[in-house]
Amino acid sequence: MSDTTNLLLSVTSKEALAKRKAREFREGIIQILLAIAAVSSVLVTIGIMEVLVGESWKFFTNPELKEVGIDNIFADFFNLVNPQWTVLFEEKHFGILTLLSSTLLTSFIALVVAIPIGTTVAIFLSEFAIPSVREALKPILELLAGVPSVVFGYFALNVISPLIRSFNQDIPGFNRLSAGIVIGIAIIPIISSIAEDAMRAVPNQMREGSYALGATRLNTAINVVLPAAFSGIVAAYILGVSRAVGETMIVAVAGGLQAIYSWNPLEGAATISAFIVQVSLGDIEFGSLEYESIFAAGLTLAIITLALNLVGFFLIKKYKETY
Amino acid sequence: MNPEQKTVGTVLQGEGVSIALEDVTVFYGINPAIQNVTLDIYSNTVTAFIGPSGCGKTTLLRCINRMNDMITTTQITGAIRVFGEDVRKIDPIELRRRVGMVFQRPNPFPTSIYENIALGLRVNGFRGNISDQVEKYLRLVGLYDEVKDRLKMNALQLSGGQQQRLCIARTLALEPEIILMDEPCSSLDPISSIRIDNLITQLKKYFTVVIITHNLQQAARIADWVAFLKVVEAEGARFGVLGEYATSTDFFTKPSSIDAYNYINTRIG
Ligand SMILES: Nc1ncnc2c1ncn2[C@@H]1O[C@H](COP(=O)(O)OP(=O)(O)OP(=O)(O)O)[C@@H](O)[C@H]1O
Ligand SMILES: [Mg+2]
Repeated sequence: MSDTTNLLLSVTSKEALAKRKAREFREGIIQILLAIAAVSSVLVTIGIMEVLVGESWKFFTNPELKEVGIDNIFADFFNLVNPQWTVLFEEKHFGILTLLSSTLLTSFIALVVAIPIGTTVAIFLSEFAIPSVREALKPILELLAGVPSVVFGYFALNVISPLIRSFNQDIPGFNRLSAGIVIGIAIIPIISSIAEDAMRAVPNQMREGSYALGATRLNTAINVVLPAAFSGIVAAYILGVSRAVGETMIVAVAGGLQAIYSWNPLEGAATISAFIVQVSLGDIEFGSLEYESIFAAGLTLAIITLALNLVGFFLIKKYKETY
Repeated sequence: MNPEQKTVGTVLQGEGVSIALEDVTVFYGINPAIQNVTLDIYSNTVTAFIGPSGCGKTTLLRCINRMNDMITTTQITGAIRVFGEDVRKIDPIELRRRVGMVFQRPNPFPTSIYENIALGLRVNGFRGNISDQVEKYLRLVGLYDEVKDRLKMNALQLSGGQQQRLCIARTLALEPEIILMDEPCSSLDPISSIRIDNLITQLKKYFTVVIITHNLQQAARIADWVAFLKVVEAEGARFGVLGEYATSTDFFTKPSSIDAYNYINTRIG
């Protein structure tokens, strides 16, 4: 009797062992695949940063700078008082604020357009729209997100810009106001869809608590749902800004290509990304000062995006701590 | 609207019917949850809804302040009148200002403790001093001493029982005429629970209270009337019906149906 029990036990344990081994093998493979995916994305990021930082380093240490009359490249690059970006001229200056001012200005205009509209759309979709309306509107927004940005660029140039100029013909056709407005339109879907997801994730019982106190839908959306979804909404804004800061085609087509330092939205001037696309389309020599300056400008852009993400991260963290 | 003024109103109002349910049937989609409930709930009394889980207590309670409007699949037939008015004819916002509700699960807002109460006061156009009202009701539910130094703290950081008391305070602070409470004490310790019981007993001078509870001792202690709901099965569907409606004393001492008798005794014994 005890023999058979032993036999049975050993059979089942052998089977169980084999099964467990197979399972461990499978899970091992899955883990390795996941690790490869994770590591490769990190490697790609490191690779990109390496190129950016490496080429920028070459730029800042380039001996040719002395030849074009720049003694202190850092003073020139970070010249905030009287910046000039004259990379393609005889007398060269590399004041990044020239381009950065355009980037910041167009992004700011974009946010002024996109945050109110995107948030309102998100509130409407999540809190007010009946399901059929929501199902009809969401694909339209997704369509908007799928429009190639060069199309937005020509929309800015051929529709918005003439509209602005109809008030005053002295305004140039290439201006950053129209580029900024259209970037804003282009990032509305990002902001509204992420913000809407965040709001819809708010548990219904929280809304019911508010309705039960005699609050209206609008009261509830503003006083209860928005604070509850705050971190997701901040994430939506941050992603929107990142996209606006890096936006290239719209500004290249409609925002102007001259590197002028100006905070006047009615003037046209090149943003960092517009400059990069312009210079890389032209025939500049690989390894030249002009070529390396692209990377210095690109690195600036990358640092801004990184900083934005950090700000978003801390905002979310701070919110989670205090609330 | 301070309670003193209200007393006068109540005395004048006299012994009336606050809520009248007439042949109320509720379906979720094609599934009946509760059928043919008819009962009158009297002003300035505490009425307890008791019965086994899933018999439709919450469903019935949510009909009274039209919370079921939020669920698109619900179909309600029959008549529900609050102070003689058909609830379907009252603007739901207005109705809910007069008929407050405390939910089965604590659902504080993700804002500060103070704001949780102040918000409701503000949307209702409260005219008195908001911070006095907040303090008064935090004291009444026995939460004030625990949180007085951190009224700015997020309410989600409170314990479950503290959250529930905050939700009770937030509802009471509006001083509605009727208060619907769905198992308000299920997450409370015995001391807080007794405190809420005493509060309800005190407050019925001013309000009409309908309370759902699984705790029969609590029902016996605070309720004037007991509505016992039971589950029946018919034509392949399970739904709740009103099993018995009697004064608390009658219900607990001489239940008239075998179901009620069994329910009371399995629970206590
Ligand atoms: N939103 C809903 N959608 C569909 N069915 C529901 C919904 N809410 C409740 N029900 C169903 O209605 C019936 C009654 O539920 P209800 O919540 O009213 O019971 P209850 O008596 O409050 O139970 P408990 O004591 O467990 O809280 C249950 O069968 C439940 O599954
Ligand atoms: Mg319930």
